Amino acid sequence: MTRKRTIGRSAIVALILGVLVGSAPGIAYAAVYSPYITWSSSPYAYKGRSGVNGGSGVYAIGQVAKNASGTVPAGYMGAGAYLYKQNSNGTTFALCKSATVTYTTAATSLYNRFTSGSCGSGNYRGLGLLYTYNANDGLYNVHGANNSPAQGGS
Amino acid sequence: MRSRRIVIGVLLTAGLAVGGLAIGTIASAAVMQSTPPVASSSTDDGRLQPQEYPKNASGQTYGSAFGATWETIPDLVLVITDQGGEGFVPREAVFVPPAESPDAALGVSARSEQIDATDSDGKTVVGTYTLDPGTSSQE
Repeated sequence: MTRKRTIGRSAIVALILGVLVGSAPGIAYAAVYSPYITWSSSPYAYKGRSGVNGGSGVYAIGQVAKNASGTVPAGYMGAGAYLYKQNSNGTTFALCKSATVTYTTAATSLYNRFTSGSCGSGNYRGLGLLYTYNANDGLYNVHGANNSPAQGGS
Repeated sequence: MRSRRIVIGVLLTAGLAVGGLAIGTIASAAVMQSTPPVASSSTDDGRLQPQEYPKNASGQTYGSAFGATWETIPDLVLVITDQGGEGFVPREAVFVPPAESPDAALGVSARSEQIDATDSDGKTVVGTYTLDPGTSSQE
């Protein structure tokens, strides 16, 4: 009888413990991205997208990559990342964090730029501003990727 | 003793599953509910659309840069200030023009300066906005 009671009590404690541990915050967020855009800056073809990683420590991602195998020379690709937060009445998004453009420092095939920090709890979207060097005219082409989907974050 | 361990193990697992499922459901519902209505400047799939901006007395356009293209970013961009309110900063301060060459690009470093945020008049300072040095990675 005593043993049955002990088992029952332990079982209840285990169940409660399980629910508590299973309910603990720590929801894993994965970055969500916009569809790629593609373009050419002679002599290379590129692709790029925006991302946002929600949850605690939300951040935006600007990503630019060579749209084929191989690398491009240092300084040919750059990206800025911008984190937008929806305003309180839900009518628009204001710029929360701006990680302005920096460029690759070595021959590379992909470059990511990330923001850090947030503007409190809310709905966020990321935007990548992507810079690629066009050897034909000696200028950079600047492309805004599509906005990322929204994610809750703080 | 063995059956006790089995019971505890099963219930612990069940508890974890129930708890995780509950939170997962709540989180997923929250994310779905939190998906905002897409701003008028952007289509449902996030493609960028040109938009009209109001002008202040100095003839500067102002508003949210969200959904704008490089060409249509307003002169004064809506930001959340360091103090938590809303303000505007010049577009060049946050949407930086490109480097002049790949060699010059190698000398570009992450910016982290603090700039004044103003009212939509572009003059009345309402707070500050600090650029985010951020981080980067290359492969």
